[in-house]
Amino acid sequence: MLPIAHAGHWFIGLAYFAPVIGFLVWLAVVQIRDRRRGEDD
Amino acid sequence: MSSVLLIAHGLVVRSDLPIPEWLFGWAAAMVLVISFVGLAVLWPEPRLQEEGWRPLPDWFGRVITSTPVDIVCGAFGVFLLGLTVYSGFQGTQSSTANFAPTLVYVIFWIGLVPTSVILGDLFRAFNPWRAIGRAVSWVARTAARGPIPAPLEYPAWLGRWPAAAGILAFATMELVVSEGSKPENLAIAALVYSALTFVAMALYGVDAWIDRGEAYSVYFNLFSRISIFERRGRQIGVRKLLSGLASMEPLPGTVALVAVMIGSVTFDGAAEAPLWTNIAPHLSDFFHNIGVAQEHALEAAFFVGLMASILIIYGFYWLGVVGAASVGGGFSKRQLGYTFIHTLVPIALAYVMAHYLTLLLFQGQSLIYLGPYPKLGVLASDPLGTGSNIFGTAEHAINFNVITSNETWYCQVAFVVLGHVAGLTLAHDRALAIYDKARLAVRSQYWMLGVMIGFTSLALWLLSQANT
Repeated sequence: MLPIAHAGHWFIGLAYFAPVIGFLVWLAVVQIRDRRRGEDD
Repeated sequence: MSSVLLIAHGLVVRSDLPIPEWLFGWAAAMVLVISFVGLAVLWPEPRLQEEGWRPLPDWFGRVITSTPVDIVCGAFGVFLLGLTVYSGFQGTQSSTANFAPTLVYVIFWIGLVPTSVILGDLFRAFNPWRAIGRAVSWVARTAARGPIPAPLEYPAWLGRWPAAAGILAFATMELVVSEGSKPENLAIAALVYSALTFVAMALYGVDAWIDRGEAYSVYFNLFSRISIFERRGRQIGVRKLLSGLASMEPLPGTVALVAVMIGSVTFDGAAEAPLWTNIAPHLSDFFHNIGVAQEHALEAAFFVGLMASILIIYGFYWLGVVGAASVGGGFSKRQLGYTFIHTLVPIALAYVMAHYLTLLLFQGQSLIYLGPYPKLGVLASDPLGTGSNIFGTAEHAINFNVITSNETWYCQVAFVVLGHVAGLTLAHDRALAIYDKARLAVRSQYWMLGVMIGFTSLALWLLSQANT
């Protein structure tokens, strides 16, 4: 039970930071896309 | 660690919230993204770089800034400092029954923050060290019957570093020292700080030290820059909300100061989280094993935790700055770091208000009771905790009905969201002012938006830990 309870804590903790993770992924995609466009230009 | 005041920061159990707490974090992030888009579309020109200060009626400024008012306010500040020291030494050593801990940690440290935001730099008038320094300077000038030797010039490189060190020392006393809320220890700390301040004022002059070095003057002045009220000379005037922050001089040490302000609140919240309570005993054992006495090993562990929190905040801000620098525009990372640091002050406000709301509203009633109408609390009548009843208010218990647990949560979320939207607005406005292309300005702000979403998520996670 104990590891599962800890996993629950971690999962809820991660849920708080999901928007940050999502935003960073989006930012990375935008940066890579812009770099590629720059190289193509 | 020393927070043994009656009510810790959020020892309330929330019930029947319509959605899980973590979903509030998602909603807050959405508000920030929508605000970002709204600013990009609807805010095309910088509006906060000029304060637009307008004086209030002359008579008002003359009364508020008059010498008698200055003397009365300063004398009241000196009285409170004296009472803190006296009750610390002479009163009971219970942190809740003695006047000193509640005045220092609740009314002064927390209560003056919203007061400064609403009314402006009020602490300057009540600052006991400034009042004593000015009084001594006046006596010296009078005795010398002429000008006294000029103080040393305040070194430019020192900037706000002494203030950052002072706030770190305060946070260490509050969060690290095991008996930091013991009244006697607070009295000693107040005397030591007073002595250091008087030496510094003697060296660099009262006004120079108050403006840049004295920790609490600088701390409350930063928050007062959010306010619409500002004193200029003998006049009181109004300016645009937040514009005082945009005109803040980016002195050396400012980034460190703001990181300490946010990082110390972060650690106070994180110290209640299982993450930290699992780590702390191991860290404490480590320090004990390398020779630190048992009673100080846990303090050493908490100091590491405090510094780690500050460094995380510092690092996260610099991550945003490095990202903003990567979009171009010809600014160095250092330049951008100082140029945008004022945007974190509303976030520091949000952290303080959200994290310490219940402490202020409940424990603060020991001095100002919130019944049907506000009146003096138990510690005003019995500051030493010896059973006296000076104003007949010693029987006032704390009114826990001033706010429910769910209302507390909604207020905390509102503080966090509003603080971060304010920070985003300041960053957007500054970007428009410094970048010559609007596209660059917006792209640089992607990174600041990331910083704001990160701080928002962290703030709400920390608040949730009070319930863990």
